[in-house]
Amino acid sequence: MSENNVLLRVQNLKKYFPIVGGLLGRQIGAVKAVDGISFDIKRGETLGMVGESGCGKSTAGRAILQLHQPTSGKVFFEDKDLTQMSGEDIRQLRPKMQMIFQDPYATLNPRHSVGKIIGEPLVIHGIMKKGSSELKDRVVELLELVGMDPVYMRRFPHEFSGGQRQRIGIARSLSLDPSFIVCDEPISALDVSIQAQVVNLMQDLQEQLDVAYLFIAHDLSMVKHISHRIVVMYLGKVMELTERNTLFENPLHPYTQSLNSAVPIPDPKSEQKRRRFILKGDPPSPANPPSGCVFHTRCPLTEEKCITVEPEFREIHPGHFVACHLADEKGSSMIPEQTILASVMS
Amino acid sequence: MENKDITTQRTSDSLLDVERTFKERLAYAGRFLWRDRSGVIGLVLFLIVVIAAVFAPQISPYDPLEQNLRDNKMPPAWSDGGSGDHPFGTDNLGRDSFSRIVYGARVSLTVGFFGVLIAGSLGLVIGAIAGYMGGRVDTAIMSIINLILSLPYLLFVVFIASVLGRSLLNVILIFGITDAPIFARVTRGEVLRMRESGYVESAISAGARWPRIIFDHILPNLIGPLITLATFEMSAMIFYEAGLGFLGLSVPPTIPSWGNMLAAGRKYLQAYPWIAAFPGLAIMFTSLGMNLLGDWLRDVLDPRLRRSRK
Repeated sequence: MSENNVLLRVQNLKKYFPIVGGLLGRQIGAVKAVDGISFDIKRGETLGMVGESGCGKSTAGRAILQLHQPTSGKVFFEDKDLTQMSGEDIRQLRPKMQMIFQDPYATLNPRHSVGKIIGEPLVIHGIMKKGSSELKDRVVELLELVGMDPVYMRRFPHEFSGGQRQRIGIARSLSLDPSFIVCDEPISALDVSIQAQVVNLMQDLQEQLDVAYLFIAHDLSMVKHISHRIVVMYLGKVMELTERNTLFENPLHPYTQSLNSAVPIPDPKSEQKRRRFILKGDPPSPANPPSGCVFHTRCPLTEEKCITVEPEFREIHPGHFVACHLADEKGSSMIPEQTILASVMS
Repeated sequence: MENKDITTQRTSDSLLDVERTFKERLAYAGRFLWRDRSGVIGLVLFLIVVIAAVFAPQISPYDPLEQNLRDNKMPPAWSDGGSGDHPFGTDNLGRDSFSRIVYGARVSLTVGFFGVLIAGSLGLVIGAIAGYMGGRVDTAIMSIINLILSLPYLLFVVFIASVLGRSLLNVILIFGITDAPIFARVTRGEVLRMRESGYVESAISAGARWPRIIFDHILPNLIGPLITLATFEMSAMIFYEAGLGFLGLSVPPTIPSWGNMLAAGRKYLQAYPWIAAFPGLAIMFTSLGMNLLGDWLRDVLDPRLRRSRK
């Protein structure tokens, strides 16, 4: 916490969901949705978070905002540990940390007008009074900020398209001038044409308002477009964390490499030459994760050590973190060409 | 700067009010009622019953209890031997059927309204607690509710009625209590669904406290389904009240009620069918009206359906 521009620091954050069974409802296991993740986010930065469905991305976002009580670990927001705070203290901090949700259809109350939805956070925190002209002006301003006509303020959410609803959701999350927003797959429910609009809008807003994003998505190309740094998750753990360009040009973890190879290139010639490396099988259950490295069941490079010893999440180059035994400065955990060819043939 | 001017100008426009006023909402509902003709029929039938109940002394031509044995079992006005003095004819004791039906609306509506009021309030509180608290509280409450619902409804009602005795208050209490589980179950389901919904989560992430979540997000979304259910349950209660009356378990025979009239007419069903037919028709049209009204309310109270309804 020496650097002042670190806004949020996550340390070894865990969130387990108990599995209860039997007549008495005893706990018989736990889904390790988030299993010890660490990273930090600087002011005004976008940290992309990618991973397959069910790898704990959304849970991580909610645990950071304390919408899910973390099982253990620490979350420092502006050097204050959120996990040690009372509910009321966190409530006081909520204006600074907001969330944009995945499903723009479910997250807007169908009985509330757009104006009421966008103004609600301001009313909750007593910043502006319900029905005041001040509030109305602020809602108008927010609607214009996200590129919508203020006359829409009396309409209801069901009267809008998905992209417009997501804009409403963004306007709501911006109403309190937050310094940090968790964006939980804000674009995955939208059409591709609208995805670009929304992502560009979010980028513009970041420049204007200097807000930091934790941008959760499973679409690597979109994350590449918006993020400064990217964290790759697999089965509740962080596999790799580095600058955006490094991640795409010099990925050190075999999992990142396989994800990378799945991104299409928008140029037919290079696209033909693109080598695809397709992982076999499904990710294991987070209720019963594999021993050692959680990725060893699907990794083409698995060695003895990977099955028994859990790899440390270490900094290989400055700012480049990897959890893989085989990665070193030279990047020897690259999947060899033969493996790639073999997987394409099969 | 120019932009700012436009903004302030627009802001002063009433189109920019954050919320619609009550009057506007009423106009909205009216327009949608007009488009839905079966809703209009339902509302008209319901209003006829309400007016009959409220203005019974003014509407009815005779005292509903006044006997006139000389004019007994008179047929309705339009058939042979009927007279305009008794439009729906008279019963076995010569009491005017029309007046008795008008007064009978009072019993039916009172039972329906207060029964639903009691059942609805009880059910809302119990269901909301079960749904919001979840866990063991939910399990316990739902077990009791399912137990009550598994009993044969009518048998249960008949049993309580015969123990408590015949009075209007008892009938209301019986319906209020036995019907509460249905409201509780609907409320609980809705609350459970909403508690996990995106907009409740987003309200929490905006920093809302629980009273706001309950009163601003959960309750308003409950009103639609509950009012609709209330209409249907009210119609069912009117039905069941008549059933109890027919069995001689509802209000005492001195009070004119549709169920009592049916029971009295049963003996003469073959020779003088109109004695039982008119209260039967009254029950039928009231029930029909309330069901149509309930259908329309369900649509009009859901902002998502308003537009799609033709």
